[in-house]
This record gives sequence, structure tokens and C-alpha cells, in this order.
Amino acid sequence: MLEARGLTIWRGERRLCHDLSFSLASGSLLLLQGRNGSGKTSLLRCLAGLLPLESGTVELNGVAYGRDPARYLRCLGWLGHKDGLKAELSVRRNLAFRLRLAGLAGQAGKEDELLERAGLKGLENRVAAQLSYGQRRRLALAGLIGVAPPLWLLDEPDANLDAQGREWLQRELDSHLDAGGCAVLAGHRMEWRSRGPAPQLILGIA
Amino acid sequence: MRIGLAVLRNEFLIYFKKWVHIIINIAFFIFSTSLFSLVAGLEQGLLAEWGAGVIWVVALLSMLLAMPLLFQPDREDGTLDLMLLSAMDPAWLALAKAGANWCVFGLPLVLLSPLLGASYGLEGIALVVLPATLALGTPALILLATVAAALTAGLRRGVGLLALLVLPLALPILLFGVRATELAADGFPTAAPLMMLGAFLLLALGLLPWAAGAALRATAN
Repeated sequence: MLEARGLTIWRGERRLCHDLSFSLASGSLLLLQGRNGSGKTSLLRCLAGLLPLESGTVELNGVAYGRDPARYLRCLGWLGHKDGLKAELSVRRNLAFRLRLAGLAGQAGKEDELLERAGLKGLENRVAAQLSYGQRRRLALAGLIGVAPPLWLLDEPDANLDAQGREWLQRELDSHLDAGGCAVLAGHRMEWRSRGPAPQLILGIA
Repeated sequence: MRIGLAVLRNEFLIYFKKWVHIIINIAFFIFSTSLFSLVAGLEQGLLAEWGAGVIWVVALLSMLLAMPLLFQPDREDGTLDLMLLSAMDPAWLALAKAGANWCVFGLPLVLLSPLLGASYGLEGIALVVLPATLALGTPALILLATVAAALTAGLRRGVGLLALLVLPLALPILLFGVRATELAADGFPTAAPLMMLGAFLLLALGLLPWAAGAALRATAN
């Protein structure tokens, strides 16, 4: 599904990785590990097409970002450090906007189902600014789950989540992988699993 | 296109929740133009001579106040990444952002300008030409600002740089806007400067959203 070949990434004067290659099949999870500043977020942003590659290619389902950006982007879902929520808008409006960005028309039923799964039922009309950090993370994840793209790119997705939230995220990740999706997850937690221990890519060694 | 409309709708909702910004912008426009008239004293001829220039310069400055709101909040809360990763061309994103920003911060200036023009002693056709120049010129200013705001959104002191980028580029729009109103006040035809402003606007509509979209992509890292 995801094929990265010969990736070299620079951040300013610093080379974060050189000639890095890996592939990811349907149903698999790749964990990006490494100390702070080792380039986990930069690699994720490169995979999303948000950061240019110095050299190398990334193909998603056989499509390179440079060849057909729209088709490439349709296949991936992004959850960065920041939740991507508008503090001034309600929980429902934020979720609806996230779905709309993926071309999904407003579906109140689907929004209700997602909010229930994320443990946010009853908070639909509360503005995002009034949510706790953990609730905001859940809402951002609910948006990604609702869009359901084949590849998930997650940057520390469990930030601010409590134990229940992490279990919920693991369940959603399991469902996604069982359905044939795949995910690249950057973070410091080692326990994420995909039908067993997930392979790890440790950055910052070279 | 449909995603662009959703962005536009969201922008309006957010701006109306930030209504204080709108009030401050309008108040700045009114008070600053009034300051100039106080400095000029009660000499009616001098006031009328300054009127168009003062109103145009203050309109430009008050629009500058709102320009950091174009992309900076989206960069800070992470929604810009989501929008750039959506199926929407970033040019539509820039256009939607510019459209909402102009409706909220530019349109009130257009509507208020005849009143302020009258307080400066402008009369007759000049009170029609002044808002017409602002209606043509301020959207072009906002479109210029989208490019500068896209380039500077990720910078810590981007607001000052944004102003430095926009002000020199805004000069032709400012000059034609002021000249058209002055010609109208003196009873001369104003078609030529108005057509020039229209041409600037068409050119800005045709080119600048794409430039802003490319700038957003280039600075996404």
C-alpha cells in the first residue's frame, strides 16, 4: 500500500534521514520511534506531502504525490500534533467541517455515531474551546475515523488521552487495520499493536 | 468548490464569534479619519482636499489590522494542514478566505465611506465615486494580502513583514482610488481610474489566489 524509497530529508542545516526505504502492506502498522527532534514529525509530513523530500519517492497505492496529488491525498488521513479544531465552533460543527473537507456531505446520523464512539455524546453543542485537551484529541480522532482513509498518519495520537481514551484508540486502530487499512504512528509509547507487536522504525541513529 | 463554500461558511461563523475584531476595525476607521479632520481644523477647503486621500489611507491601514486573521489562526490550530490535505485546490481556499475577510472587514468601510466623505466636505458625485473606488480597490487589496499572509503565516514576527509586503504593492490601487474621487469632486470624468481599479481587481482575481495557494503549499513545512 505505502512504498517509500530512498528518502532523504533535511530540516534546515540538519539531515534527518538518508536513503531511507520501507514499505507498508494493508493491515499493518509502522511505529516511528526516536528521541525528541529526531525527525518523526518531519517524516510524517513528508509522507503527507506537506514537506518536500530532498530525494526519494513515496507511493501510495501506486500513486506518487507529485504525479497525482488529489488521488494521493484522498487515500490518507492526517492527525498532527495540533488537533485541527476551531476553538470558536461547536463540537458538531468541527466534526461536520472535518467530514466536509474529505468531500463527505453533512450526515447528522454519522456525526452522532462518531461522537458516541469518541465518548463525546452530549457535548455536541459545546464550543471546542470549552473541551478538555483530551476531549479535543478525541474529537480530532473522531473526524479521522469518520473520513476512514486507507492510510492513517498519526503524530502522537494519544497525547492528552487518558487510559480509556488510549484503549478506545487501540480498538479503532485494530478495526482500521482489520478492514485492510494501514497506519504510520509516531510517538514515544511502545505498546501500540497490530495483531501482535508492530514493526518499529527508529530515527536519529544514523 | 463545495469544500470552498464550507470554508467560507466556517469563516463567517468564526468572524461573527470574534465580533470584537469587527467592532475594533470599524472604530479604528472612524476614529482615525476623525483625527485627521481635527488636525486640519475647520478649514472646509483643506478638509475636502484631504478627504479622499485620508479615507483611502485609513481604509488601507484598518484592513491591514485584519490581514493577520487570514491564515495565522489556521496555522496555529492545525486546520491549515487539514485544508491543504483536502481535495480542495489551495487557490479556492485562498479565495474563500479573502472573500470572507473582505465581507467582514472591507464591506463596512465601503458602506461607511460616504458618511465620512461627507464629514470631509465631499459632495455630489464624489460621494458615489468614493465608495465605488473602495468597492473595487479593497477586494484587490485583500487578494494581495492573501499572498503576503500565506508567505508570512508561519513566521513569529510575520505581521510587520506582512504590512511591509502589502503597502508598496497597494500603492497603485491607493493612487487610482484617490485620483478617481478627486476628479469626481472637481467635476471631471472618472471612468479611466475606475476602469484601472476594475482591471486591477480582475487581474488580482485571476492570478493572486493561485499565487497564495502555491505560497501556502510552499510554507506548509
